[in-house]
Amino acid sequence: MAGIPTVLITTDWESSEHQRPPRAICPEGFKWGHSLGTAENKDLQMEVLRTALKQLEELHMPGTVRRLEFAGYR
Amino acid sequence: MADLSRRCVPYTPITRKLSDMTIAIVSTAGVHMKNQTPFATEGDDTWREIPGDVNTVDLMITHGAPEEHYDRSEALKDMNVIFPIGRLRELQAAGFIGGVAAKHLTLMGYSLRLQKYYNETAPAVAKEIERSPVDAVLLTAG
Repeated sequence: MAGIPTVLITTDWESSEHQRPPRAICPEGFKWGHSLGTAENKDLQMEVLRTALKQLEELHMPGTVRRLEFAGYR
Repeated sequence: MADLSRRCVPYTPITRKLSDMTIAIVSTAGVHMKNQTPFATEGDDTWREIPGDVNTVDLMITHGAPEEHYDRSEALKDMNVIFPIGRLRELQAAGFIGGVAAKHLTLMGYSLRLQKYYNETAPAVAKEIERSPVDAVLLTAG
């Protein structure tokens, strides 16, 4: 099959869901521009990134954005 | 916009485990290297190539979106906030992913020519990615 698997990290789930991405997460409450969190919190960046990448292997409803809570965002 | 959303979902299944996959970043957050031509803030549909071994302090942001729509303050302290190349390298070292692509692509996700973006820019970016050995793409926006 042609194409390449993608996963999106968005901070604007409404706009992103309009585009019906195959796999996407939205960390709840993160400001626009803070896709992986904040500069000081490397652990949070890692957690968001690992969660996003795991969408590649997990069952995901294509065309929807998974809105997820992450602890540690200010 | 509405026209684009009526198209089917371009879902591509994976063919290998995450721990064997080489990952590339494609970002519309306006990130580029300090020695590359900045994006045109009034609208730009060109892209920049970022090497996988880039030092994040050599990256900067040029984006036309106002601060209230795109807060750059955190990314300017640590570019991994929107372009997580360092975190990807750490995940590779930990064996969580198989590899980090040699080439990553960045755009400024602000263009008034949406149809051109959809019909020309996005396919060209995809083609560029498919030319390199990449198993999956992480997308980030501003």
